[in-house]
Amino acid sequence: MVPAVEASEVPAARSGNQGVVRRFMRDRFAVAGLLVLALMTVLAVFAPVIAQHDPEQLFVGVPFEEPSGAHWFGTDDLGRDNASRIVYGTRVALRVALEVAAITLLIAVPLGLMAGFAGGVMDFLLMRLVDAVQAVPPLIFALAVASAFDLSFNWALFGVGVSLSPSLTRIVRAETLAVREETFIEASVAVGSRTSWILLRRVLPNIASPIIVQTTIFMGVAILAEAGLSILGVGLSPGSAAWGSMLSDSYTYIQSNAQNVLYPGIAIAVIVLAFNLVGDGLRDALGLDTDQRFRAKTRLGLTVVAKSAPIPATTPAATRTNGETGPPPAGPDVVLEVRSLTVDASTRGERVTIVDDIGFTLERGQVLGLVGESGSGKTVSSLAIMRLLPSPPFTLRRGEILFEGRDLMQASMAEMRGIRGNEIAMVFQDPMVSLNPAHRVGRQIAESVRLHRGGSDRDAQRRAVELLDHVGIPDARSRATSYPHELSGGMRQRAMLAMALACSPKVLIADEPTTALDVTIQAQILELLRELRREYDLSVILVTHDLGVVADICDQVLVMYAGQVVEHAPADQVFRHPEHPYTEALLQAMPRLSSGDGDILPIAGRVPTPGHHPAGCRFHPRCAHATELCRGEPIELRHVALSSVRCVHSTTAAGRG
Amino acid sequence: MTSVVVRRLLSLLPLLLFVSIGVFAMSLQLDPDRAARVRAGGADLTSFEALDQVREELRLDDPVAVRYLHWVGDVSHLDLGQSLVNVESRDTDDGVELGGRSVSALLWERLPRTISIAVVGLFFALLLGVPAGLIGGLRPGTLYDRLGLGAASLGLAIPSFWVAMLLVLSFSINRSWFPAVGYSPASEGVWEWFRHLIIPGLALSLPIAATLARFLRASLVDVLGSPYIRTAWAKGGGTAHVVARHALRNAAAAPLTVMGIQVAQLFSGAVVIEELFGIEGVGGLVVSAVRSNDVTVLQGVVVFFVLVTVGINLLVDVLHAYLNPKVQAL
Repeated sequence: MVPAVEASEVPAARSGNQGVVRRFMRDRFAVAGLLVLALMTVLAVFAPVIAQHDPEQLFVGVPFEEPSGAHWFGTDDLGRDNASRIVYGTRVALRVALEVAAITLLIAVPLGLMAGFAGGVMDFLLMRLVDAVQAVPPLIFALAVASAFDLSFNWALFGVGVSLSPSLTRIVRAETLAVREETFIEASVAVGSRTSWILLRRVLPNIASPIIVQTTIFMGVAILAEAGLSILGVGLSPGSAAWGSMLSDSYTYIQSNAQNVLYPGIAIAVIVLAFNLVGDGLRDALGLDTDQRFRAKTRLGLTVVAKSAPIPATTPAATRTNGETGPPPAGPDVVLEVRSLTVDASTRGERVTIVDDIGFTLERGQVLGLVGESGSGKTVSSLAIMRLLPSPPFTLRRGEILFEGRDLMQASMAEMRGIRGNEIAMVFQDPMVSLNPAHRVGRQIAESVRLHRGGSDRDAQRRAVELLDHVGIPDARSRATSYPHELSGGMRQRAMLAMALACSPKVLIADEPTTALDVTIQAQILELLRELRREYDLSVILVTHDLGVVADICDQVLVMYAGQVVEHAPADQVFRHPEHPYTEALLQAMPRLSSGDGDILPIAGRVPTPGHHPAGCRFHPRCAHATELCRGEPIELRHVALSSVRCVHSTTAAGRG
Repeated sequence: MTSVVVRRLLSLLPLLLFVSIGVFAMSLQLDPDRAARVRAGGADLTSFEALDQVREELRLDDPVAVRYLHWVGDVSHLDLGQSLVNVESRDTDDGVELGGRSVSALLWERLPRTISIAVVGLFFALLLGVPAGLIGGLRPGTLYDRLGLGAASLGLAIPSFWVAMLLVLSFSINRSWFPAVGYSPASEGVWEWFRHLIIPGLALSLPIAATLARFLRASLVDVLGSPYIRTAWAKGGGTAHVVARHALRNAAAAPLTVMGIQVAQLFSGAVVIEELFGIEGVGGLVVSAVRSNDVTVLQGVVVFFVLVTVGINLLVDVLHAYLNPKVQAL
């Protein structure tokens, strides 16, 4: 469903270093965090120069002096200068951050590599060891270690480092495993130390990014942990210029002197926040954050229609000027009529047209094949009819979607709710992911019934079983209580069809309903679709890239390329006399069992991405018949008898057929 | 469901083996002389008999392996040994005798306070984290989402004990709404109990609420973009229906796992908060045991925390299997 534009705008994961720096520098918060850390480092290194007083010296002022020129932050209970103590506190904070990070790395990296390399029992035991460490609350762990070594500050930090190592160990192990599997498939001959060396050289670059991010975050956590330990009396010697002990000392006097609690607290919060912002910024810049594209506001329930959308004249379908193509409609039996449908997508302020002026008419009981390679815009068109495209990025720019005379472009969310699943139903490509994994199949079908028909739960369940039985699921009663993962692929798609048919819709939109299935199952599902169409007098839009599917079942075929209609004609005509070279190419790319000269000719090249269409005919770079004419002006759709075609050579092309 | 539990329990065995070795190793540095001195009421000189008695009690003369097995045997009977420092007099047939207090009894005594703080902390974490995560996940990119994410960043960075201090300053010292110290058992009135725990619980909850909000948001955004949510819209479901029926249950799995891991974090925070508020809970027990190097009490506390953490993660796994039927099949 995700169109090509969206895929191409997601930054390639772990691209070059320059890209990383540029992306990082664009993140204002991350840059601010980096500046704070730089400032803290300067303070730590030049503390003796910057601080006005010795941080440990008692009574440089009167105890609890108010802030003044001499003592910017006032003095503490023993008359020490608060500002100087804060400045010197950066030394402790940075030391803690670096020490703990080093300990964590020294433990996690070798353990993770070992577990990943060795595998088997070794891996199992090491990972249970990691679980064991993680089961002890971090602070308790640090306290226990410190207590075993005479409350030594360094041992307490060691404890903090060990207790942070499990998550990093897991990351290193996972990456090692991934690389190892790859390498073994690729070069199973290599043995001994050489393999380990190769692995190591491949693993380390892979784990560098997540390690850097995680370690940055851990530095902040370490500072918080140290402050906590200070409050418990397991910090540096009491009275030393560390933020944690300053906080702990000043809390004693909070009733008489509240402000002294503020300075060390703010200092801790700022440095930890800085580490976190830098860590988050790095994660984004290194492409480790997968949900980047969801940063934008998105409406999922109803595709937005552009306010300026000019509405095509709603004259009767006699005049064929509204982007409507193919065989002229034959009268009152028209169920769905799409005119000049144009869909835009905007990515980073840039607007590109994904579906460009398509139209068709669908009569009762008819099947329309919507054909094209992936990226041609066929799925976007089908979702646009149901207004199911998320907005942004998608907008319906212009056109009409007339369902029994009502324009769905003008429908509200409530009106669309009444139509979706009730009048127009949809079946999707991969039933495994299109069915909710957490609900039983029967319940999901019954839900459709209840949404539109109301009634009791029991009635809806009974109807669900009927429907399952109807679509050829054996033992429907017990299958209704299965979860989707308990069914086979074919069964799942049958269940999807049962769900779509729950309210006897007039139109069924099937988006690649057989693509995810085995060949034999494909045939069964198509056969079922054919039966259901006859039985329910269904009008079907069959979206597919496979002309073989189209041949069996469709009345008319609409071939799309790069968002445009390139050919629209009755099905038999498309197969006998393809007018457009693209249609012809699709036919040649189709595997045929019975044909004599049956070489399959794949189409060279790829569908151009929206916004990067070539001038003139959009297909000309891949077309064998392309001439100068094809490279100039955009090609108009021409209507000849029952068909429409977008090719300047169409008559010659037809002549060849 | 039972198979999930059984499988998880089996996989716990090696974990418990490692924990038991680690915790037992703490007792290798036991100092019999000091223990004997404490028993004798702090006298500097103790008799050789007393020393021998302590050595025998602690099995210090046995081989390490034998000591380990005995210790494991005792722990499995919930006998966590006696405190080396905390002494009580007991009436025996031969008159009054000094002995260390039972570690399990000490734990049992302190348990309600720590559990109370943790429960109130968890309550506030859910109260703050769930709505923030829901709003952000349902309306990513909006002002509310940005505010929520910003608040979560602060919640992770600002030390909870500092927040506690500021809350005490505002609501205990400047306005005496809530007490700044102490604990009132729930048996003496639930409101009093809660009133004492509001500030500690709120402070403790912030980093956990922040983590919860972040994970819930990410998970919800992810689930809302999935094909089965599109199916739910295509069936004609409204926003409330799609979110409540189809998104939430699937989106709950990831934050739930994170909360299981956060429990250890919760107890870590509780130790510091207890100290600040003078609440004599398990945290206070740890702190005094660390200061006086009371190894048996420390061992007991670690064993206790490991069991709680492991138990809660087991619960999380069961909930997981309920939320996602596929887990049961694996």
